[in-house]
Amino acid sequence: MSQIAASSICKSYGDFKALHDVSMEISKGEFLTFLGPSGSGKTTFLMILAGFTEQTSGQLMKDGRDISAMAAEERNFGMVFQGYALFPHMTVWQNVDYPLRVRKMGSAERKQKVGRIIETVGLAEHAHKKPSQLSGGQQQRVALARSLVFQPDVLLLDEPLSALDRNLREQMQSELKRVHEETGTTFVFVTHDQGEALAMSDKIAIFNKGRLMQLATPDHIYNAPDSRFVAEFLGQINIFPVASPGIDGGLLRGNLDGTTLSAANPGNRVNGTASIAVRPEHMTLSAERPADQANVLPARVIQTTYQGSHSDLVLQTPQGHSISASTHNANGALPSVGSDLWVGWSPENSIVIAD
Amino acid sequence: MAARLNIHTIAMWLLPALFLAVYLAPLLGVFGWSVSRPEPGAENYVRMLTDADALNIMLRTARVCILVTLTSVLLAYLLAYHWVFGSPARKLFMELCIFIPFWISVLIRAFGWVVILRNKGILNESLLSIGAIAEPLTLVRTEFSVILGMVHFLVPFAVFPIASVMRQIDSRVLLASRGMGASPGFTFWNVFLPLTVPGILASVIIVFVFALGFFITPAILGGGKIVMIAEYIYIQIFQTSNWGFGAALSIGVLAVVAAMAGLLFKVIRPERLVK
Repeated sequence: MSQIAASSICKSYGDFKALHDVSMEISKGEFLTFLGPSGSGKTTFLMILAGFTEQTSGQLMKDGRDISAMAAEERNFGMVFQGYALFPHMTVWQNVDYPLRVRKMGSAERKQKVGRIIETVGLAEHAHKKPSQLSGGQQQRVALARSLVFQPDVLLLDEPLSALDRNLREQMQSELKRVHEETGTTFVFVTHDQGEALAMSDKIAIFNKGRLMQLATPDHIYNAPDSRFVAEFLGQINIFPVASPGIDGGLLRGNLDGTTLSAANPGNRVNGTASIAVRPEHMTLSAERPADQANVLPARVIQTTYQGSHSDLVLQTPQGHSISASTHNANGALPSVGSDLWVGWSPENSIVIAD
Repeated sequence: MAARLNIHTIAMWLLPALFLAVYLAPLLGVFGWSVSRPEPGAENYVRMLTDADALNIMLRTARVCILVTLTSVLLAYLLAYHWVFGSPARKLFMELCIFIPFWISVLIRAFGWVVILRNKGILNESLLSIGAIAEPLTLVRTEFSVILGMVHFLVPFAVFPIASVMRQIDSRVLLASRGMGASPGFTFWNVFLPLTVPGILASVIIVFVFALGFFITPAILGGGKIVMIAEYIYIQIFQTSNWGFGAALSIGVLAVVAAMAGLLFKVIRPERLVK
């Protein structure tokens, strides 16, 4: 059974609809990420989960109990705020101790719990310091310790890493994952950083314009986006609008500038128009027209960008369609700018997007 | 270059020179009086600390100032809270409550209170007419009326430092406290109040220093019966011609104010208290 179940959550501010009919289930112990551009409603939904914002309509359940109207104070959710929101007048120890004092826990038990969690996040030698004496990463760890020490049912994290520089961010990502595994707490994490979402999550929920677009594993979201928005939002992708699409022998076939393109797994979402999408890394480049590829387009190399392990190429078809491709540099020399070659990919690597 | 340097030098010394001329020189003169009139020695200071009248007045001044400070800061805290966190309509109302008294002359306000509080004043007449009291209450020329008038004058001054500290509080800190399960009362005592302490201390010092030098309000609302230190000094200088004693009292008040001002300079750096 799911730990949290939200059904048909809506939030309006006057005429502006911040959330349209969002429903989702969150399993116990899961690392779920809300990903979307700013203004997509991901933070609003998190605040509704936390109880800091009240939904206009819809129902929220926790372990089978209706918590739609329950105050934030009573939900027993931990929260890490953007900017951490540490108490500036308290030491690290006092900050982490705060939720336990709220719960009127005995001092021996408090001491043991605070000590243990401060150890877990690696702040033992900073326990007596005030937040202003700590670096961004250390403050982040205090916020994490403070929101985990009382063993919340769910930990909500509102863009906690956005203020950190890149190296520190990557370090904190793996630390968050470690803490997630050690504690087994359900994590709900908000970010606008796709890389962060892909690297950390068990599941990703993509938000756009107040709607939940798709909720699935990172792998599924990346390889089988079910909308143009999701396909384009997560990583690079080539999208070819095809004319007169039709399903034939389990493949979707459609016409692009006189060439027939085909895609496996068309589903039954095609009515009228469709696009076939391909990730750049699934493109193969060859000087001669390949005989064994189902989808082949001629193209000229416009630009090459060397990225170390791989290179990114921008190509153009004679009809003016732009194509991005990426090749492993271990595969041999990079084609030179201006050369004409063939770009191919298999139907299995084609993603059908209904427009 | 040399000419510019000269102008700079003159400009730089202008303010200190003014300070020397209008502050330091007269101040040294006052100090001179305190140790030379009627005859050289520390006699005036000895009198200040032994004379029963003087001690009584200093004690009353301290008592009135402490009561005024506590009342003003408490009221200011409530006003500031509603001013900073209230709805737009309430904010406007609070602004009126804070700024209108602020703009009215201290003299008019003191006489206004006399009109309300005197034996045949508005308050006594209305209480008599509804039969709540049989005899008019003695309200003017009491410590109560002095304190009332002073609080009325000083509350706006106490509001500003407190409101500015309240405005700087990160609202997420308060949300975080709620999110961890704390009740509004727990959050207030453990988070909100400690974070506003620098503003409270600044208000306390500003109000106390102001109150110490109050002259017009106690003179009018105390009507010669409730004499505070400033009026006492005035009497020494202008009525009984005890210039030396008046000067010694002035130096005493100045020393207290200077000590409080020194404290204020430490306090208005709030990060020192937070760190």
